[in-house]
Amino acid sequence: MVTDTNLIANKFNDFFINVGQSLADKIPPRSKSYQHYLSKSPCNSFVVAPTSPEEIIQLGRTMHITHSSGLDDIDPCIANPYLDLLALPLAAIFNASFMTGIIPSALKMAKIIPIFKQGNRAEASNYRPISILSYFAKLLEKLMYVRLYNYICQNNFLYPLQHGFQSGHSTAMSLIDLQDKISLAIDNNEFSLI
Amino acid sequence: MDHVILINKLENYGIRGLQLKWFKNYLDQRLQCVSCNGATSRLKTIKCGVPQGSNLGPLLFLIYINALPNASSILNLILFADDTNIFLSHKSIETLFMIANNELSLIADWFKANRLSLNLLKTNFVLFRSSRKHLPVFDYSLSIEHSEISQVKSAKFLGVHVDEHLTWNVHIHNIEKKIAKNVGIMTKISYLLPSLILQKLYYALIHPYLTYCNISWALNYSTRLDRLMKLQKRAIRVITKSKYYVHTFDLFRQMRILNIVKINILQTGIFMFRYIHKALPLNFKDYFTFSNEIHNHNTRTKETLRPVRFRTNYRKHSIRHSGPMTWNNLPWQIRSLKILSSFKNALRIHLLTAT
Repeated sequence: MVTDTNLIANKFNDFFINVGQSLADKIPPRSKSYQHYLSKSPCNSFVVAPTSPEEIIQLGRTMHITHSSGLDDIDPCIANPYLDLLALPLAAIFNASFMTGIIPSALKMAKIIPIFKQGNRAEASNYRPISILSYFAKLLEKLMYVRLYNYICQNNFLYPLQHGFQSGHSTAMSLIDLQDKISLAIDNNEFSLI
Repeated sequence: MDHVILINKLENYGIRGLQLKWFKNYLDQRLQCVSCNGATSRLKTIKCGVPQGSNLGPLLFLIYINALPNASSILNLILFADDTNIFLSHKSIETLFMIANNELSLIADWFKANRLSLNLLKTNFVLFRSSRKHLPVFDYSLSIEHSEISQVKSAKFLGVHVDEHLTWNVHIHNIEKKIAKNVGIMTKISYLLPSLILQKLYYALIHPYLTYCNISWALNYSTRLDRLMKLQKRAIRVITKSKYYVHTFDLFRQMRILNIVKINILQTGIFMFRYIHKALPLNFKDYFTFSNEIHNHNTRTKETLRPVRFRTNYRKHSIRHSGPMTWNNLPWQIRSLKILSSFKNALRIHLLTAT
């Protein structure tokens, strides 16, 4: 039992860092390579278009400003109204990042908040890590997200029955799809498995 | 998620050179610290996985598992982010299980090759069949990596319980319990609160259960929906502070609330509107056909949609039949609207006034 708050925070950090690795270690060694399953690589390449202050200001309007601040302690609700002043230097920094392929290390730090799920409160595995990134890191990510997502959609790379994380798709859609398949199978006097 | 594999996959999708370097940099050398109860830990480097709480993370995850359907050419995979559902059907139950066992081992190989762990405890299967169909005496089982998968009568698919005879009874019973509890709470405190607040409570505590995936489960025999209907009526009477014997039709209209059956029509209508305006995901592309795609005669019904033929009511209750039927029954003034929001409004008003 640990009671010192600093020690608790450090213990949590150790746990969350190692949980993925220990899970990965348990997976039996591969028999086939993952490359075996990949489809043929396309000829066209992904090109990142540079950003502009206007795009950043536009993006700022879609940001959730109620989210709490990351490790830089800059509250989104303070930074967001002044985005039109910040947009010019930010655009320069983000473009430099796209041009060099390097992300400023200050934007790669995350603050983790453990959220209790259920079970024993003294057990670190009963907490889910929620990470909070800096407001500016989120801006940079959103810029890249828009570019990558458009590229993927234009080339139709994604599996059409993948309903997660995509606009226009919802849980109801995948349920409709499933219901359609099952009812068709029953109508054809078939058994089906899920 | 393994960073090396992810980078290789990105390269496979045509992300090369500088752009690839950016993503490598994005994943590498990330620091995190835990903050709780005012204390902050030291910064440490993250070893695997994509950054949580980021925008790009989910997209990178989709790219990571995008090749999963390539593992098997027979199985139908329905993915919702990391929630994988596999669907397979066959006339003969013996063949069905033989194919399923074979294909599942291919899927398991994929998971191993991609360094992902499969939570076998959370994996189970449902054998769907008509309730009139007798199961042949046959000892069937499914297994992945020599550990058997348990059979269940209903599975939770994205928060909706889908049962083996597609009756939706398990789901309806589940939300009935939740709604009954919440109606009880509202009844007990109703004497303290004005109608307006009670209405807000209704939308927070009861309405979401009735609308969630309503398009699938509410197209059902009325006997199965009966108890939900009664609960909804009770809630309406509580909001309007009416006596228990008051007829609810006018109350529904007065509160501008739709009942379960009408919510279903509304949702089906919206689905069909999005189909007609090509705003649905790609996999619904060829779901329905127009009459004029079948024949060239200039008939009165040439602009209507053809409902699919059905042998059983299971099929009749699916969107392929109900969708065109609902759409064709709408007044043409509503059908001809061009904007989704005005379509929704018009349809809602139409349903509120309809008997």
